[in-house]
Amino acid sequence: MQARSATRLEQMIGRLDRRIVYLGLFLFTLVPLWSKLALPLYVTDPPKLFHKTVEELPQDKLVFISSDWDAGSQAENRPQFIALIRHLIRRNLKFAIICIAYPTSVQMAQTAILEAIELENAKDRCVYGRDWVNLGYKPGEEPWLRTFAASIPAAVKEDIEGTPLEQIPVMKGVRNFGPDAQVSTMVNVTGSITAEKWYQFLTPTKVKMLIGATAVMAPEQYPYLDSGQISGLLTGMKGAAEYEKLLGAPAHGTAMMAGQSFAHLYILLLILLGNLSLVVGWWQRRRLR
Amino acid sequence: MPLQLTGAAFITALVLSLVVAGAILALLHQAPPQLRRWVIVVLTFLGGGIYVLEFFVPPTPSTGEAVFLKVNLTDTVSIVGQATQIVAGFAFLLGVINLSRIHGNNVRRRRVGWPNSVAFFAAFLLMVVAGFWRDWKVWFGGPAPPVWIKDPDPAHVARPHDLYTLLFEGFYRNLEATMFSILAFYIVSAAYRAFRVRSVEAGILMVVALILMMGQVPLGMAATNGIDPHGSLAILRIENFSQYVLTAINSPVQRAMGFGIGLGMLAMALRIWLSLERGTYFQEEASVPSSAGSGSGEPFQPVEGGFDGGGGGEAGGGVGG
Repeated sequence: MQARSATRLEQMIGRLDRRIVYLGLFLFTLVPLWSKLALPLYVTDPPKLFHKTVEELPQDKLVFISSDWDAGSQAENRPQFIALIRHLIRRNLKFAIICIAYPTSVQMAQTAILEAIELENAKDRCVYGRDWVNLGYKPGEEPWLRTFAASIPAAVKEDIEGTPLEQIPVMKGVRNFGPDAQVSTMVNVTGSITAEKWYQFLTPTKVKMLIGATAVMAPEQYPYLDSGQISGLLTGMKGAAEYEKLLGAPAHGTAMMAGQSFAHLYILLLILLGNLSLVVGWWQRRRLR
Repeated sequence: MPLQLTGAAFITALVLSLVVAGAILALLHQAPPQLRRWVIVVLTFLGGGIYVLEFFVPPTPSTGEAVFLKVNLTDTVSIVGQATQIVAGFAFLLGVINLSRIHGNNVRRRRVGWPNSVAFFAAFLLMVVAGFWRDWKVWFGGPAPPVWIKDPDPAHVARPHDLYTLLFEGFYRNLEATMFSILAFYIVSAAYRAFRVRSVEAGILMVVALILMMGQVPLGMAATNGIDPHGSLAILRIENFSQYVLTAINSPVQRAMGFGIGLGMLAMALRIWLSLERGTYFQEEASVPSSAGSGSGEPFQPVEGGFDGGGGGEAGGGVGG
């Protein structure tokens, strides 16, 4: 009788109904968001480097952004992307967008840029064609990337409106990547395996590279950050929130931090609870001996 | 100056290209498997060879371009790069054809869940019509689309009031985000059920995971808020310790894995370039006698018990175990 009750207790702790687990996660995420709980946020070194690099970019050169996120990773990548665009607008830096992972990223990036322009109230300072351009989606196959890294006009002929590159003011004379060329930086905001492709093909050009990655992908980018191949890294939604803090422009990333914090805490508690059942089982079996 | 075709000339060129591509594909399809294999082997070798040659031939000092036997390899590489975009376009087309076949069969045979296939066709057609109609004038000329297809109002530039935006921003974006959000619920439940510390290694993994998870959110940072960020114990602040784990422990491991994967990829690339990989390019088909048919030989054997065996009963429902 005693042995049976011991097993029941062990099972009760270790195997909660999944619906309760789901409901718990839902509430742990939603309640802090609803209550607009503000938590202290400390900025780590990788976003600081990212911010510093953008701060020091020359204003007469173009910034290329490889926007490789879609709806699946928008919770993490969209705030990063919007914060980046806001920073570029504030610094009056011209930029070009290209997408190599998902065809849907083109529209995602377009809407996010327009939102950033609205947030910065910069309709006159950030005009399509003059200050920025969307070059659309190109399947990121290695041969094409090789061509693109060697000569931008050889690989891209027109923007999403079908306007030839040579007729777009912001792209006039833009040919190559690198410190002595017209493109100073490549920023890859990504929820896919595109960063490694850019490292492979753009490293020889010595162009500065910055990465905004989902939290699950970020650990893979640390060796490149250590070696100086990338000049800054944003990790998931937290990276976006830290970047927003550095910009003094709290937005979506900052707002979501409370929800993410409590969701992480909930996962932690569940893992501990699951392991508590092991301890309880072990303890009760020991008592019976 | 690149050749720019518009209007009727563009349509004619497009149709001609499709006819020629179709004819080449039909010829290849009719050719014996052995010949097909050799065509692909030779094309693969030539395609890869251009890149190898371009890399190893020293560039001309004045232009920086690699020229071999009066052939400008740098330009050739650029053309091959553009050609891959066209091949990728065909891959998209194949994907659409394949999806249409699968869902068409579902509807025709009234298979379980066939209304979902009807929903696929409805959504696909609606998006195609909205997308093409919206940009038809830009790409092919002709009359301007109505306002409900392309909203020209500059006041609505961030969120146009038209069908395409409704479908993309209103449906697609939210549906895909929802699908990925559901994964979080499964992951939480799986972590709770499966993350058991039964060995020292599992214990280390759990401690590291806890540190990284809490180092990733302000709540965790608040826990070590009392430690002076500039003092000698600053490393013990969770965000700093988490960064230490990522840079001092994770980085070397990732780097070692990267080297291993790189070497593997090099070997794999060589095998593909020289067509040494077994089973590629219709090799099996070519080796099977023609009486055995043109299929891949072994019929497909479904996995016993279907594909719902894993997942710790997550999809099954009820209290686990």
